[in-house]
Amino acid sequence: MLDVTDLDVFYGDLQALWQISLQVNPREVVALLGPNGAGKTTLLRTIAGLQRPASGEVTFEGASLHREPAYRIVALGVSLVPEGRRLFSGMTVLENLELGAFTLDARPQRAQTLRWVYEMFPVLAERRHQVAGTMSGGEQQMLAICRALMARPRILLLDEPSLGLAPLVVRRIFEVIRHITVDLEVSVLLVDQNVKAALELADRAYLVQSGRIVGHGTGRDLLSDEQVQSVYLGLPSGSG
Amino acid sequence: MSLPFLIQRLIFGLLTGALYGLAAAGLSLVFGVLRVLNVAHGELVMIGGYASFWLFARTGLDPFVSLVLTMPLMFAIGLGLHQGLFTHVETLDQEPRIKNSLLIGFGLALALQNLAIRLWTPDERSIATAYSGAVITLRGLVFPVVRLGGLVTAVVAIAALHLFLRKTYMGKAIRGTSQDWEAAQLVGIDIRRTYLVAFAIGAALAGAAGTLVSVGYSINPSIGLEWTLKALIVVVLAGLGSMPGTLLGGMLLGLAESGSAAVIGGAYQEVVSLVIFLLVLMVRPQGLFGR
Repeated sequence: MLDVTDLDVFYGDLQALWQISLQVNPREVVALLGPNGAGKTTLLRTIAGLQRPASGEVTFEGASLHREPAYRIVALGVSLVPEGRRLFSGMTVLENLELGAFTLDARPQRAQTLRWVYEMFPVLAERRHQVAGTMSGGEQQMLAICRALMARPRILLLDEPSLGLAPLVVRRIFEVIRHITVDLEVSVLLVDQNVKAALELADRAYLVQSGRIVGHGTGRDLLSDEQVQSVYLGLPSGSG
Repeated sequence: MSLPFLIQRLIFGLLTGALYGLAAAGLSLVFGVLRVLNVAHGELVMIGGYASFWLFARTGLDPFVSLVLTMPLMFAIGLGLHQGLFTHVETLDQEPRIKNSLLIGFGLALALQNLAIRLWTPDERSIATAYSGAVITLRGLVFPVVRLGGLVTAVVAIAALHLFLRKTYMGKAIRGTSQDWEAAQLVGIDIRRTYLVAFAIGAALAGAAGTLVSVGYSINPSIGLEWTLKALIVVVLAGLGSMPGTLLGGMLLGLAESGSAAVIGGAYQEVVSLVIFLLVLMVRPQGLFGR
């Protein structure tokens, strides 16, 4: 469904991504794992159209994305929940959700999606007239995910959804992601520092290092992989 | 100095201040959304004033009625200026964007000033309608009809803008873009279009302010800088993000100017507004009503 082929991305003279290729299939949760600065965020931003690749291709359901502007990529069914949430923090919860359904395809379904969101997150319904920036970090993250869902995407790109949140809230976020994929039939491409939780959730995962993909496997396989355990999970190698 | 005299001065200040607010609303919108300070904003006020003056001189069209023509005209001019000049700087990083937009703005200001001298001569012009000298007197206080008309027009225009920004999809997109342009793109907003529309609305509001200046006061080709400065002071005083706040900020500036003129003399009027400008920047840089 989402196909990234031989992607090279530069920041000025600096090459950030080298020959990245990956696939996400319908209703699949795929995790991107790797240390800070590996290029995970750059990859998501490039897919979403905020960054232009120097070469390579991104296609989604047969449509090519890598030359489209970001606002049109949303309309094609790809929504990014950016790192740091990037809410319209001076606007209300409801206004954030309304703007989430800005695309012409999403507007007719706005009331229906909004009902789903409010059922799923009663707290957003209660606080719909509250200014988004005054909510707690966890609530803001839920809102950011819901704002992206309002566009009725078929794939959701999530960049560090659990960053800076309390463990209990993190667990809730991962439950929510699982629920979204089942309930709304949305695929997910996930970047998160919480490697164990991400691998438990993901069907498959790619390991990214210094802008290159260095490994790939199912979530379960990677969880029991010795190298992954020592590098990403901080367990001494050989400890099982 | 008597109390009624002071009150009369303050009333005049309030009426002038509503114009400051209207002139500032357009500047505030453009600054907030495009993050570009259009230093030629006052020249757009001037052009709007001449447009109404010209319509009145040629056809006798009432200046308040002519707003339905001059505002769309200024909107169209705004579209053209944006596409021709400002669209090239929006995608730049902050520093080159600010520098280049200032250069473009000053160049545009000079060009518009000289165009106005060619078209309308450097003479001071004013629209003299049949009711220009009319006043309403209430308990010994004088309210000039055309300036009251200006106040009502400013309030209506700002209320309409406020509702547009709060209630319509385009208005919300403009606010969203001003808060986070990258997030705006991620929900599907074509931010170049919101920039364009915001700039054109700013020009239309400047034009409306110009019409009110030409009927309540007077215009000449070089009034632009003064109005840019007044509008900028109001934007700093009121802060970004609230249009009713901008109108209120304009009225406060008008009150401060006329009050100080009555108490310490008119010679210091400009000094007072600049002192307010500096004080706000030092004490409350986000402005009185800013987010």
